[in-house]
Amino acid sequence: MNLKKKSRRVYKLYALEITTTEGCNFNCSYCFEKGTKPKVFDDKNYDLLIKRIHELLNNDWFQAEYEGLKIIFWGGEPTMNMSLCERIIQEFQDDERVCFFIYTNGSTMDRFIDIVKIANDKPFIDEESSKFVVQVSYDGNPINDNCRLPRDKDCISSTIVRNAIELLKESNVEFGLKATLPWDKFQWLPLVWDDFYSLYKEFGERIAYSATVDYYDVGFHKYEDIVKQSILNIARKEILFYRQNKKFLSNIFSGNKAICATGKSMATIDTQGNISYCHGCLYSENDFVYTSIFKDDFIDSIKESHDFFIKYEVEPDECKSCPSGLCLRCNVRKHDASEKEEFQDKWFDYTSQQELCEYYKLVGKIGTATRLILREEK
Amino acid sequence: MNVQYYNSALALVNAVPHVRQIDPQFADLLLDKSQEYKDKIKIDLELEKEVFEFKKEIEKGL
Repeated sequence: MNLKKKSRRVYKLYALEITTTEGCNFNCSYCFEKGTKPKVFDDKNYDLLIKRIHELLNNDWFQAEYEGLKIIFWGGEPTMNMSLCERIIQEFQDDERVCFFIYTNGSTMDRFIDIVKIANDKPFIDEESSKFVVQVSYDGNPINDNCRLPRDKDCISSTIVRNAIELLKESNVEFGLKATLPWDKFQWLPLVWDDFYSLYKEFGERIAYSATVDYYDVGFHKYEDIVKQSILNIARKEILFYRQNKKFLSNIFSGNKAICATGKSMATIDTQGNISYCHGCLYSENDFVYTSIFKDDFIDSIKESHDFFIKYEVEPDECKSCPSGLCLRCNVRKHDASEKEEFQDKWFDYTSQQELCEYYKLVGKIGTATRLILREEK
Repeated sequence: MNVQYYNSALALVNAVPHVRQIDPQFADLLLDKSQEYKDKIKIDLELEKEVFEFKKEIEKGL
């Protein structure tokens, strides 16, 4: 392999998540936002929010440190507050340093797509990347239609998603699917994989099965045997897929132990204008708010957060020799599960969820076995 | 040496999401190279045995 074959510049972007609303038109069985009274970003604060984003973009420290800004829309279902999404997109779409990303269930895509299309055609400094990326939540069936339930009982969520990705594909907008894999549904994993394979055949390269297990309420011990059998089943499917496509369909056997950008090059603004390190902070039992859009010196606090996390970011020795390949590490969850004393030790305590580590290790070993089989075939 | 291999593999893996946006094929090459480094990390015999058992089990159903 020649690593010099191609090289391209990776632009350094700051990610700013905006929680447009906590409301959602779905009632997913595993949602951890259940039971809370949803708040919406107050429209009387729209102007202030936009002013603060301009200030960030024009700030000397920001410009020295970052080349652009990725504005991320978070919810609830962020498009339930379409007016704020639209206002922000229209305000910043002509700034070539700004790109957009949205998490969505796809239910409003018929109305949202025109806004996305206009923004997507605008210039972006990284000409080889998309100005607008849409991530649609889809778990694959049978999990999806059993767990992701629209409040409008006449709708089926997989149909909603299919319509959304057809619109996105027709409009040439970059999109991805993101799945939740509940512990008590692991027996359906092989069927889910088949569903994604059908979508792959229909929609092409943009389809991949990118699954996240519930890392808040870990149920690996309870379902260990089913989990193991399902992962082994998937391994066989992936081998057959790899023989044809020279890649895996799912991220399950991928090597991704990236350190999260939370707090360092990322911040989240909640519906009340409070700023914390990432959207994970919104669901913690701890308070991670460190400033707000109402404070004129909010950029100083963002800079302090950036410097703090750069100073203390560490990779524990235990992770360096770990057999896992994929390991999605949520620092907020690690912090909350940690028994250490200091904030920074808790935040980077990647081994504080041992049951989750056991799951990722199991998958890593099966992934290594899978790659051994493929290597022997070469 | 394990740590150097690990850090190199991790650096390549961290670059993959950025590269994949504009050059998916090259991203796959980076992942392969990353895997090569990971494979050089010496694993303990117990782990090797477990992986081998899984390999046999997968092959049975293929």
